[in-house]
Amino acid sequence: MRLIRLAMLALAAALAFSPAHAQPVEDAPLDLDATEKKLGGALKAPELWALYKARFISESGRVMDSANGGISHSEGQGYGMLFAVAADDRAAFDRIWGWTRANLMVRDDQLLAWRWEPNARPAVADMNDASDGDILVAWALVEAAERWNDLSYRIAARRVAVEVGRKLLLLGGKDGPLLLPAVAGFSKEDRADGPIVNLSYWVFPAFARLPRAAPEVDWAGLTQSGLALLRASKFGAAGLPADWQSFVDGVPAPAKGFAPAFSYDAIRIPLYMAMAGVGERAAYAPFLASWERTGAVAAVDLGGGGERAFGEPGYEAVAALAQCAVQGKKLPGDFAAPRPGQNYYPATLQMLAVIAAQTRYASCARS
Amino acid sequence: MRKKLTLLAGVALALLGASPFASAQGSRVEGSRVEGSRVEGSRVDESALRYYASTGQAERAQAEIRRLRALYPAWTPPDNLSEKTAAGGAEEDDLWDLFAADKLPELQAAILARRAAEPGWEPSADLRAKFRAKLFRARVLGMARDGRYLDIVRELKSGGMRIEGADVETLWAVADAWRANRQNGQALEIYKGILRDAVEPGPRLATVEKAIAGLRMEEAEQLIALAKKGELEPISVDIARARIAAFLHDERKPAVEEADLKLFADYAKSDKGLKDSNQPALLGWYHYKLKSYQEALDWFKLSLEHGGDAMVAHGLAHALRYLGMKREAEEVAYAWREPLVNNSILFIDILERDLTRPIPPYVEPERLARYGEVTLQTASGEGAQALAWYAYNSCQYDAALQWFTRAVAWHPKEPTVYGLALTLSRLKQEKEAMVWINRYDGLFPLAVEIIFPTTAKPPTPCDQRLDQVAAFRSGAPGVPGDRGAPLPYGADPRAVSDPTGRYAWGRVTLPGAAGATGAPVAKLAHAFPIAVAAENPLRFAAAGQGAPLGPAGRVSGFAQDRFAQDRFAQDRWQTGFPLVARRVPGVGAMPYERYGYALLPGYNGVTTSSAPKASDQLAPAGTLWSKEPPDESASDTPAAARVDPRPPVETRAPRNG
Repeated sequence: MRLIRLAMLALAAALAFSPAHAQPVEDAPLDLDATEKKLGGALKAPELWALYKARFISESGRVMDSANGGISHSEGQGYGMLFAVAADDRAAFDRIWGWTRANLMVRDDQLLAWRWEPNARPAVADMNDASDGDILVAWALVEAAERWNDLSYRIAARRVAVEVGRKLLLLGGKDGPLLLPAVAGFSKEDRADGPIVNLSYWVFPAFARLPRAAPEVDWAGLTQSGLALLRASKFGAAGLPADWQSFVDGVPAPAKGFAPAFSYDAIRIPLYMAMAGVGERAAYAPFLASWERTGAVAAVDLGGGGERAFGEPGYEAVAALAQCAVQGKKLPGDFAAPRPGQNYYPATLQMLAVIAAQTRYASCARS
Repeated sequence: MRKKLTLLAGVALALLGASPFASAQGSRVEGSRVEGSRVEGSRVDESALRYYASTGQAERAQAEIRRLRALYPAWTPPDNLSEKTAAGGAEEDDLWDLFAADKLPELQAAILARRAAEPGWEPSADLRAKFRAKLFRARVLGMARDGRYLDIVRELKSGGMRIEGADVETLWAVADAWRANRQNGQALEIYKGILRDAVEPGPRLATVEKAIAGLRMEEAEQLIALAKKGELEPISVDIARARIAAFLHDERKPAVEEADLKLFADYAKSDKGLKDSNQPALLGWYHYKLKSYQEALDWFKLSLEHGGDAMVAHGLAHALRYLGMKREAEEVAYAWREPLVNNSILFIDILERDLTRPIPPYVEPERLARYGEVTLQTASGEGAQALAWYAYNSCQYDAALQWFTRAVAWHPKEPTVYGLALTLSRLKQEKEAMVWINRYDGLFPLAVEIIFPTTAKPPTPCDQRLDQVAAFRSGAPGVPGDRGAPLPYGADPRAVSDPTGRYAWGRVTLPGAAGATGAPVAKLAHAFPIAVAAENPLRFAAAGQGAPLGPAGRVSGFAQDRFAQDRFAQDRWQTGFPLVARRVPGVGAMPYERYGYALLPGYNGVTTSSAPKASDQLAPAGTLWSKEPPDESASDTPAAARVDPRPPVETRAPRNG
């Protein structure tokens, strides 16, 4: 961080001669492109997609979490559907969506059971949903409906999106609606320290697209509430958000019963912001500073301050994308390189980062 | 200040139609253009002319008049030219020339040069003020044109910009910048300042219009309150429209005053108003929100007759539904299903209620056929299970099987899987039925109940409900609820529908089905528990969207494509399916627990069944779900109707703060 600051001071000094641009750079507004982008066909990395399919997607359309006993979750199915439409691979999309509705849409509403385990009776592990999975599936259906002009996808997208708006948004907040992580278990009725929120469930790039399915839902407000929540969520010496936070009386704090950590969930926050082109410089600053300090993308214990590098390349792709978006850094040469040894989750993060770079940050690509 | 505003207001006024701000906001509301904005010929900076006149330089003044006339043919010199705007130094002619020619950098240079050459010399206060205002205007409008609103706000906050003396158009741009920065309060203050200072009606009205289009209505109302009596007459329709839109957005609580409603209704019915079908439609949505469905219906119809779109048709269908004209609602939704998926969904959901009644009403074959077509085209699980239950309840088991298999592929809910297993049993495909029952052991008690039927149910609220239904049907007086006592499930006891199987007694036993509640446990015990594949393998593509997928998603008809060489991952984790079910959070007790059988702990260690079940979960306070009135969850209300069908109205203001 000190290095960045020095560099910025130097830059500011250099620019001081030109009065029109006398703003110090670190204070200058971050001019990201937040325009709506279609995802269909956006992924120009066929080998990356082929590897992802060969490693994590079964022939029946199940997306398997290789590091967690091969379980599936609604979130993974949503990612798989998104990647298929981004790769313009309709056959794969239909497999994944077909599996998803046949196996996860067992609730009595339009949301998805969040967890499926291959060796249990029954395979559905929990009737509860996960709002990020619901949102990802609805978003993927919106993209598929546009890409392939299919009424059935459009209708399914609307049914899920409307249900998210109906059951999972807590309305009336001053910064916009709050997103419950699930229908059951996280509201203030359910927990004394409720509502509990997970900032990484704010899938910012989805919010620009979901109005296509359900324009009556305040998706733009959700973007605002997410950014406002992030501004207020600075814990530990690192000033980072925690994966799980309570939100009693509008004050965020690491939630009881969860490790007070910036970890596997929250690493998606800067990824989703950069994917959507939202967030001010200050919103990215704690993440960038953390990576700068540790020299790697790491989980941070917000209580004790311990740091542990995630270790797989997909996490570094998140950092590279954010550094490209905020600091204009070129992406590393192996940014989009297939990594055959990588697990499901980091491979997924890498796919997301590559899609974001290819749709929004062409200028960071190495020529 | 006042004089300056008066002078420059015309400039802004004439620019209204062309300025980026007017086109961005003013045109959002059709018919909102201010009449006065068409004034031509006053887009003139007369400062230099006034200076020459006031300093008695007739020749220069004439030259300036000629110049301005050439630039603006419609312009006429003002009568009060000799009036002094401010005292200016007599030797500033060359500076005023530069000022008049908009050569601001040169002017700045000239001032600096003269300061250097004549120590102690300063330009006149008048020139300084005007120069500063002109610079400010150029800077703000330039930044606004580039969309650099954040920069404008930054400079305003840092004191680098002062708005004193700015003309109306510049002030509008400043207000736009505040709004873009979500500081509506600051924008409102700018607008209020204009209304305090400006005298010409054109810019005053245009300012109110901008507030209506860009702020929340409660903010714009503060501005409206500042207007002079009768002054806003020319834009009264716009104000009424904005108030109606604000009501629709829940930005105002009370209904709109009668006078405003009448004013807007007259406009919406006029030839001018009917040119835009959104105008009558707005009143349709307004009355819809007030539950005045007949009025809503009339306005929606009027809108549709004048080109209203599928969203208007959607409103019409909902109004019809509320007025008890379900058949008509179905027709409207069907006719408009293609352009708007809301109508497809409503079409499926309206008829679904009738089709799934335990004693199904007669539905014409052509209606069933088109319902089936739409169901297949949209791969609708809701439609498929509705047709399946209709077929099942009318003893057409082969048809029921076809539809249930699709329903379980698209929509594997508890009642659907239950229906599939029942149908397979009817068709003597016991083995297949057992596969489905075993697959959902631990998840769907209803399906497992086929094997472990209850012979005597303990009294539950549902039994009470049954008594109410019986009493209602026999015409006995005193049905609870007649006098306002709440019914346990929904408001209308006639609305018993049993696709959910929750009211098991509602199902009519079909001929030849004796023994369904007997003791098949022994007979079927060999089939339960058995190990089956965990995955639900059913797949069907939507009709016309490609070939149906075979079991487990194996493509049977897709052409070789560019991904044909790609491999899929081995599912090495599905190695076996246990024989003992485990707890699933959100699921109630399994029927066999009565006989002392236990379940394994759930994934999270839970050892008991869930109460309430996921399907009985209470709505968290603060969700739309929690605000649904009880009648909306009654069994006669299709799911599609639980959602607020209102479209987003275009006059919405950005969120503040």
